[in-house]
Amino acid sequence: MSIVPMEKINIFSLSANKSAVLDLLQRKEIVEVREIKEKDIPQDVFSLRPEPEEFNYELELSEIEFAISFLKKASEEKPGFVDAFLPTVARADEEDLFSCFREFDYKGVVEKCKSLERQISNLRTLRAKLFTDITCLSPWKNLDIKLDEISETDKTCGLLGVVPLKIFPEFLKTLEKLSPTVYIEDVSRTKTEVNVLIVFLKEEKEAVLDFLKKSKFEEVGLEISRRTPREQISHIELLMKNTNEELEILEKESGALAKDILKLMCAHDYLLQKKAYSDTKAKLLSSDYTFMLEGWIPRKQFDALKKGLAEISSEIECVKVKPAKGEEPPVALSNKAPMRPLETIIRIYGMPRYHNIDPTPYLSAFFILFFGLCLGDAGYGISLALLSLIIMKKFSIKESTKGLLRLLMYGGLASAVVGVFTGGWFGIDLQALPPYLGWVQSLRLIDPIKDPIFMLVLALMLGVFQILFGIAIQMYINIRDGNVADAVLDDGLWIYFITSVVLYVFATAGALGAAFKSIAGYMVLAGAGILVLTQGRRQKNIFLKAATGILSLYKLVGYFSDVLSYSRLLALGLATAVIAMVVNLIGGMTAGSIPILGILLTAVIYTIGHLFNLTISSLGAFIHSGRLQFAEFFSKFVEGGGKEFRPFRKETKYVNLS
Amino acid sequence: MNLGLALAILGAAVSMGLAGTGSAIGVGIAGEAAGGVTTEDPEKFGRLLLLQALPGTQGIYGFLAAFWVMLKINLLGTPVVISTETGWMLFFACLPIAIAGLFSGIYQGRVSAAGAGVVARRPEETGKAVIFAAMVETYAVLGLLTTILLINGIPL
Repeated sequence: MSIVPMEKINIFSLSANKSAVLDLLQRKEIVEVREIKEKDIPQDVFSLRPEPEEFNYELELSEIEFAISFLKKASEEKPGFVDAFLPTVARADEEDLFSCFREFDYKGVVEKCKSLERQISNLRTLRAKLFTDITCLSPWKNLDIKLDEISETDKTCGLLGVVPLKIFPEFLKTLEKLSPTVYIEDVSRTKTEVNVLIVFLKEEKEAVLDFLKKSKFEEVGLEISRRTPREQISHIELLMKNTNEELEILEKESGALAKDILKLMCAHDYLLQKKAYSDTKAKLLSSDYTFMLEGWIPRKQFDALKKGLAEISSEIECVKVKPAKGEEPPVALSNKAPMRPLETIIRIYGMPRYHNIDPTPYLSAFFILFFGLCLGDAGYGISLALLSLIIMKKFSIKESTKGLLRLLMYGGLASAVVGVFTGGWFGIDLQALPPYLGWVQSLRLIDPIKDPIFMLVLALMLGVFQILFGIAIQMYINIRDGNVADAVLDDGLWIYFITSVVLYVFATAGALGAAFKSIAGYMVLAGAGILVLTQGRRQKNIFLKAATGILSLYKLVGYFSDVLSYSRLLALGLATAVIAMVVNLIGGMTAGSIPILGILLTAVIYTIGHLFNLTISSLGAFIHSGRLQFAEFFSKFVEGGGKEFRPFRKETKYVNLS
Repeated sequence: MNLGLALAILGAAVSMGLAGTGSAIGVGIAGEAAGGVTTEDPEKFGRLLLLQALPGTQGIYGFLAAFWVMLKINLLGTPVVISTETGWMLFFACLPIAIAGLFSGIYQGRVSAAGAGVVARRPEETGKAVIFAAMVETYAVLGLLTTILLINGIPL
């Protein structure tokens, strides 16, 4: 229900107890250990110093991570499409982790993976090079000269090169004119270029080269070998085949290693816990015989910790200390189990500050209701709730994902309720239902498609209500913190003012009777007057007081746009309903088009279409009802920027500890 | 030849066409960024696909508006005979989602592309990136709402 009260603690003891204390803390998962900065160290315990690290966990962990991702790619079973969204997590207990670390030769596997990866990437580079070689050689296939004989013989020199097709006849002529002994072979042609071999006498070398330099001739350098181009190509192709075979063998080998992935993961997570341990140890201060630890603990857990420490040894001192000036405790939220999934939304936004308030209970009803309105279809709602439930029960998934699924389940149930009242059942036209299903129709209170204005007013009223609620919470915080003047003159006054404006709007629309209109009008004027008089109270200068007071009325525009933002509840609800209708319409059209096959096609269209709509509408519902909380609701009372409480614990990345 | 009907159809076509273009560009921009991140880290595919899909809603809103017009003039059955003025009205009513969809789709795509950077470096903060993109979408939602309310208010 709230932000957990925290205590700052110091623990002192003899070095002999250090590991026992740290073990206890890691097991209990209740203390966030802070690093002690050098300037905070009291002068008389000057000799305290941080411990050096003895083992390179970072390196070890990153190597195992590399091996895991390498083997995942190599493994024959490719992850399915669903896995990309809902990665499943293996279960293991601590024994498994430890035994994998101790008995399984993870280092060997890592080394093997490294060498396999190196070999495979070398072979792939080689294959790419061979491929380029073939591409380079193929234009010269018809050249029947060994490659090492081209450039030089006793009397002649040779060059391979490319000449643009357009200038080729002229190129030939000029070259022949230059020297009648020049030999030119037109080896092959592409659309724009001619590949030529030019052979000339050594004594004419300078003249020919000079000409070639000026012409558009481009020399091509091929790798020297004792084969003709054709032979060389078939030689490379043979090499290529061997390379491919070798690659295949290596890939099979890595695929076979993939069976050890789970063990690697266990070893990784074991090391990860060790790393957390050693990182925490590095945050302590130690002298030759003693150590000191500083951290935060939830107030409620303090006695339990003291008891646990006393069981280790009587020579451990654990005391509460006052936080330094300006130091803020880390923030942990504590809510009852059914409410906990909603903390997911707070985490997206970031933690509130310690002295603020936990918004979870206040936003919960709104978030779920808004989700329901945005999805707004009983059929979709029930499907979503069931799907979430099944995935939660059937698959082993991360805790954080579970919270999200539970949230989707709540949202699904809410939209089931909304759908019953608005008559949304997979977008089916309720009038067309058979008479025995008439009760479905009778449950419908409103049809948003026929009467969107009513839904719009409802959405805006919900907005007014949530915004007033938000200001009320701010008022409560102000009173709690002793700022009664602010509570009354800012929050109280605005609540009054907004209410009177809304009443005036309703009265003008004729919803409240004519007599009320002038009363509401005076209420608004009075509210505005008091705002002008009070909102400038922090200014010293009389003119600034007046100006700030008048400008404060501008805040009304802000509230107005906040309220309008809630119109999205109607728009998204309509969107779901209309897409569902369209799916039914298209499906219905195909049903009659082709006999038998048409019905099958319709079934496919219904399934895919409604699944699509369910997905995008749920996504939209989640995002937009979340946004209403963040942008419209939180801005009234939440002060963001708190640091999340991260207790020293047994962290895992790949497996769920059971 | 009924000009009113033609204008109504033009409205439907414009709302789908422009809003769809906005989405196509937006999804394209976001997809380029997402593709870049995927080459480095294929495991982030799910989160990235979510980000890429965000600017896709404008196209859907445009389609909804087009469908709303079709419902209004019963284009899928026997079309209602409407005057030229009514046709113009329907056409103008389609403009909010058409224009807002076109531009918000493009800009939402850019925000989503920036979000792909968030996913690359701090995948645990994907939620925040999604919310940033959703801020842009607000105006497409309002455009759709305006179009729907306008069409609803046009007397036949």
